[in-house]
Amino acid sequence: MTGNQGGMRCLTGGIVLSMLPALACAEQGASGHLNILYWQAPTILNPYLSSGPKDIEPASLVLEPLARYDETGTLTPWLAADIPTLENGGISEGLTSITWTLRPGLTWSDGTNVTAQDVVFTAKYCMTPDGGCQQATKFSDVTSVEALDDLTVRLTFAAPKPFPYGPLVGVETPILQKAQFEGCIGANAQSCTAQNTAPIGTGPFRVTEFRAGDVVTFEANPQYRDPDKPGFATVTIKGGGDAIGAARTVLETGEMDYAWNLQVDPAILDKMAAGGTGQIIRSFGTPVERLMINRTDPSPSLGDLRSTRDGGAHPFLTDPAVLGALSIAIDRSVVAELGYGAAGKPTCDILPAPAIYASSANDACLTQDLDRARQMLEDAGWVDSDGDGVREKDGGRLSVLFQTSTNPVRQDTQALLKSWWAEIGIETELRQIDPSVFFGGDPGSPDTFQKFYADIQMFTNFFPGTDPEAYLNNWTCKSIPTPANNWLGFNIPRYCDPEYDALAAQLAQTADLKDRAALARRMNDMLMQAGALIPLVHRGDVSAISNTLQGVKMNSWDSELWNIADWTRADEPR
Amino acid sequence: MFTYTLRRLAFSVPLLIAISLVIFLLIDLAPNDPTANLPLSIPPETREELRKGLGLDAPSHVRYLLWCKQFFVNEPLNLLDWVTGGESDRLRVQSWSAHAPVVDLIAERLPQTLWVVGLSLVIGAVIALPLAILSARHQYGRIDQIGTFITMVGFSVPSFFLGVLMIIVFSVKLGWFPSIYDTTHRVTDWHSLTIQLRQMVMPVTVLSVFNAAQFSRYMRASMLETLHKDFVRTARAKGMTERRVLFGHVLRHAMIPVVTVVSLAIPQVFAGAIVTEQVFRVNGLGTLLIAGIQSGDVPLVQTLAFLFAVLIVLFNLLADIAYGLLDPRIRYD
Amino acid sequence: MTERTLHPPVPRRTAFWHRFGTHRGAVAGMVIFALIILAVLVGPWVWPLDPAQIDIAAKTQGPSSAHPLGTDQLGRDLLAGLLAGGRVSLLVGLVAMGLAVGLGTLVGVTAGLLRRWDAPLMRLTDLFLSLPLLPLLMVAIMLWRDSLRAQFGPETGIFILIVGAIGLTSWMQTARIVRGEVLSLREREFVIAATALGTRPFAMIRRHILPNVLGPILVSATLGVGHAILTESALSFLGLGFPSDVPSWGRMLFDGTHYMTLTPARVVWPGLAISLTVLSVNYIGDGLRDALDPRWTRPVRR
Repeated sequence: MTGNQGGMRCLTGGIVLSMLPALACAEQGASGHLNILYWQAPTILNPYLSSGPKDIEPASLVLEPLARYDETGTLTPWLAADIPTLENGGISEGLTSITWTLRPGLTWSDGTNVTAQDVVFTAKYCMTPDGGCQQATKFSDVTSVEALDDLTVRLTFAAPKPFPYGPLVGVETPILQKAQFEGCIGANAQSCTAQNTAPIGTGPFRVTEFRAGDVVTFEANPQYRDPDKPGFATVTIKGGGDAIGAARTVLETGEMDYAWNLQVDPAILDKMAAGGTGQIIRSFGTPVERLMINRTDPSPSLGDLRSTRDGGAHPFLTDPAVLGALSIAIDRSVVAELGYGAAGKPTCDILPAPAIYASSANDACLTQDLDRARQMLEDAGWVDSDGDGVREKDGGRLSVLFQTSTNPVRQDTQALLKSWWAEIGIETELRQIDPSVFFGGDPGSPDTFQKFYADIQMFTNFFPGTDPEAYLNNWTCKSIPTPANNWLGFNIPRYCDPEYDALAAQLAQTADLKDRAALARRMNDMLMQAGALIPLVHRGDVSAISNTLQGVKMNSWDSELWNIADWTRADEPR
Repeated sequence: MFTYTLRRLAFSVPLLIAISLVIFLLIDLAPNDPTANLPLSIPPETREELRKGLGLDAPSHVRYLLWCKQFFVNEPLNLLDWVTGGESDRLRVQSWSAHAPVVDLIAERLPQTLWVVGLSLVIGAVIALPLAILSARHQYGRIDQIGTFITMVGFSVPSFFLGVLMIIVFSVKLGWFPSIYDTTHRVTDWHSLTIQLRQMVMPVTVLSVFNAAQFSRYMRASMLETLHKDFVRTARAKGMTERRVLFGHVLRHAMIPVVTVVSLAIPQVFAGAIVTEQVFRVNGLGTLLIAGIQSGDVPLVQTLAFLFAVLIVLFNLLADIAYGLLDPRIRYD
Repeated sequence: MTERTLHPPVPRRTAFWHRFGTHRGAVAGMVIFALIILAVLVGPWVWPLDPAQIDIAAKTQGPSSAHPLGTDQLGRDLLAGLLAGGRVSLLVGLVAMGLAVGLGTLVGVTAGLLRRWDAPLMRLTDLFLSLPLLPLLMVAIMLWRDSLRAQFGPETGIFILIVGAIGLTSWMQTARIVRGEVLSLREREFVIAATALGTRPFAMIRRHILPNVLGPILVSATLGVGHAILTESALSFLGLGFPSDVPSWGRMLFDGTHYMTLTPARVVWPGLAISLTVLSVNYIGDGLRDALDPRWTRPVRR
């Protein structure tokens, strides 16, 4: 049954993709060897203990979830037979439970059967305390996971869950084999090196060798559910170097077939791609490069009250005129063009995708207008009285400290913003911080993005999957980082509005997708109009593929390697 | 000299323990964090749980003593068990980012670092020795002038630039050498050896240029000093041939700074070459260390830094012994 | 080689300049170095373009009359950057080198000459050699950046931090080399004789020890300038360096490396500037050593 489906898919795929349909419909392993470069090398292949996409995506060759997002962001059944919904009875009336049914006949790569017990075990693995499970929040409201029979699993939630597709869906939470991981529960999880580096999975490949931080080799899984797939017999995922070097190996030397995450000046990429051995592929998910505005006073003289709401409001960054001027002085299309090229779209929203959530209420800021910015400041009483090029008012001077992590594209953006702000009479001091410190959250360091001992900072945030609820909760009052909560919390601008909190509470109760989207748009607009965040660029993912590789469907909602089973090599370059 | 060596060796133990404590305090104080690389979609509460899971909530001295126990007691005992074929389940020093024993990670990385960095040291010395002798012998002669020019330019061209330049010329334009170092490659026959040599050419060249420049400058300077010393004049006056003067007297005394530089360079083999390893994706110990620092992996960085410290202390001792052999008048007692 | 010309005795200072002047390499090095210094000091007046001036329309251009060396990816003028970057690089290079070599020589001479200090100082050197550099720098930023910024302002504060960081982490090699040489000198006849004659320690160091270890020290100094100039650029990627809008040669070379195939000028000029500086310092060092060596006489070509 599944084999037939695969055959059909591969036939139509062949006709669409190439003039040689036979190529796309070869038997398992016919395409030989595939070389992939993840310049940040994988150090572990267990997504529950990973440190981000560099580990999770290579693991997706082996481990698979119940359902995942395809390249359009649509939820697609993967190990499950179908997607549970209210209509098909998979989700209970009160929205408090979801029942998944596995595809029949699934086997692990060691030949044993996949059962509901494996699914139950996986949930238990992540929910056991002291296990260091990074995906624990996906399971935070789950009260019980039970196997109804060999193929059916029911998850029950503590409260109604309008969007119940968090746990065991998507690249972050795939199904582990109970037999393999049984001894790795709780505190033992950390020391199960053999299991964590060579998990047994259901995916198209299995691990043959793993060298942490260097290279992983895979071979086709002989037990894979579609006997004609995967197209490649073996895969190497090599790590190391930087993004530019990675692009060069695909586009110029042709040593690699696929290179991931190429955040590089587009001028360099285009030059490499011109007449090279490969091409650049892009797709858009939810990441937005944005400025965070410190609404509280970061002045060092405040001591412990620095950058907290108790320390008082920022002397000028709560003034709507200043915030508005800062925003419209920016030519977002230039920032996007120079830093991201075709992988960047200017945006005025922090919630730019999926399309249903995208608001159009703030698009006025897309056009740079330096004169209006000057006028806004002028009208609000900010004038350059001493002729030094910087505006003042009541003894306050429009001088900002603007920090971000070290990264060539971000430093270019910093330079651009500084020059535009200088034109409207705002002085900028730039600062760069090593990413391992900036994003590190060490309470002892003054340079973390959460402490925010600066006026403005810039980085990218996003939400995985397609549901923005958790993401929007980042800006509720209780998420403000303070010394009391050890600077935990992602409400970096220290934005606090009871009305926003009320909307967030309402979102948690709303099931209908249209209503949820309307609420999310309203919350986005509130944040934008308050000027707590200044979005710059909706960032896409950029990778490079060899001209001889076909079947790749770049995906920003799941693993980029999500459909690697369908990848094949063309005999001649496209 | 023998008692001096013994005394120094005995003193090395408390010294190394003190160094390990200072290293630990330094790494512990450094503001990089193991959760820094996680995607921002992972909420702060989970991050805090993860830190606790790694034992970061324990006080510093407890964590230091834990490392000491794991490294000084458990690792050797496990090694002993492994040699004798027994099973062992003592907790080893675990890397936080790879969730694997640090010592295994180091063992995995050692071959490529020894090949590339070690060979570049040897080649650097092989180039530097004759160059320095010829340069000093004919000071301001043609060889000296050209040698000085090339070594100084070689030293002032940083490896991040030279490496990329070589990749563009030899990998992209000419296609002679691979730009990616394959660490899984096994040398089994003549053909596989040539593949191994081809992938080593570029990284070894980049590092050798630097080493040769540094060694030859110190060696030349020191030979020039020695050439003008009284005992050399005496030797010449006694009618000794120039060759015997050069190799018998001058070289021997000129070796002292070279021994120092080499004794400082050999531990660097173990530290790896961070930039060159990254440019050519050699993924040796240098990249392991930098990745460990960037991911706030305290056990990994601590262990690597400590092993490096052991080599520093050991080779400085060897250098002191070598001084005594080169110049018997040097005594420490 | 054995033929020598003997100079009649002349006053020491005159002899020094006379010797230095006959060293062709040293004179050429001196001239080039002076020209570089002059260029970075006077250049910004002759070529008054602001190195931070962004001009998107002129990005990534080759040489033209408006931009004699071309522009970078944001359209900033390379010549202006090179002139402004030279101030930063030379200042950091020379001061950090001075600090490292001075400290290294002090420790090396003390340890080599005074037996009592040998062990503690050399173990301290071992410790400094063993400390992992990156965490050390991160701690330095965390502890001192803000207070130095408050005390000396953003630019001077960071300059002090950078020079301190480079100097305090690169003195160890010099120290060990100098000590090794001094250990050997200590047992030579003229030093023993001087000790027997009751020469004071400082006079001894100045008259007998330093001139004889000058060669390796000057090599250290030469290599140290290049090292410091390049290390400065590495530091800026840790957030310890100058802010990204302050150009320096090392930083320009690093950024330019990525654009090598688009605009080769971006690596050629900063690379040339660094190499010329290191080469000229090297030849000056050679000349100094030859001129200061009391027994040295210039070999006459046969």
